[in-house]
Amino acid sequence: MNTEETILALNKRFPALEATSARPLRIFTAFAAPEEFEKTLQYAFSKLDYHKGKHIVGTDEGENIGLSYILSNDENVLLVLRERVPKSAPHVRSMGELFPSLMLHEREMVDLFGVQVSGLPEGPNYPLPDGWPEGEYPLRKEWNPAYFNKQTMTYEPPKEEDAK
Amino acid sequence: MGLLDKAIAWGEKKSPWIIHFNAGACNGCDIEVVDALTPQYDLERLGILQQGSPKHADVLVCTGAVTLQTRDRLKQIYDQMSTPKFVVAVGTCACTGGIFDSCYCVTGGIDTVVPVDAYIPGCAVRPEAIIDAVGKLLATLDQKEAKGK
Repeated sequence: MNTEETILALNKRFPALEATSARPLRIFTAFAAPEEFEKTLQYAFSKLDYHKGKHIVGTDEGENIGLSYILSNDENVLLVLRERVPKSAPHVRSMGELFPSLMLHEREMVDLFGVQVSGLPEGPNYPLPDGWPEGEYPLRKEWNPAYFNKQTMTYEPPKEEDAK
Repeated sequence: MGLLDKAIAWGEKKSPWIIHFNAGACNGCDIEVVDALTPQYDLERLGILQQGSPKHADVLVCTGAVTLQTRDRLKQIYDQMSTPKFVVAVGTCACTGGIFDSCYCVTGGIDTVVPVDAYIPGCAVRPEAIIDAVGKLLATLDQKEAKGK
């Protein structure tokens, strides 16, 4: 399925996605509603033949964390499906059953952004090193690397009294 | 300098054996290290052989900015090498941390973990630079031997 056919099919099934293509072989969509997002991934997999999970890009957007799932088909079209989860309770379901290659990227989201991914098998830290303190997510904007002690592997922000 | 020390110094100078360790490099410098060892540049013609075990190596050739995950491994490998031993930092990341310096997951250069004898800057280093550094390192060994006498 080529770029135009994918856009037509996506916009017919999920009009809110507003799929567009600014350049050949690239399709971008608006942020999907949380309850719709999983359906869009399943639809892309089963109906549009996007069988390859290429990447997940995470972005800290302040109150939310943006997740962009990049899929591809045999015609080398890249389809970007996006969703937002609240930073206070970031939770998504693992897409590893449909796209096994995305599981590594889901682990990155867990380690670097603190996204809870249900259905993801237990495993070691990735890509953070062994012994990394729990609850510290280095790609969140409020996390300051200057306060991280690499020798003791502890995060020590200054107390409010010290800052004054 | 005793007879055994002289023999070791002679052997190191004539045929320093190296072990290559990637401490979180992007693989660019690693490819250049392999390039320097293999037939096109052929460092082996100078008696420089790559070894799989640190216990057999005289020179630790390191690439990468040293991630927190590799930090302890690098120290362990260095500790396993018998003395006298030398460390060569290959690439800008290995010398200073490069663009990864101050990143949350790197220590910022080989010399933050083990003492370094030779620095080879470059991103990625050219094999000619590696050969030049090896030549200078061998000259240093010559000088050390001369001082020993």
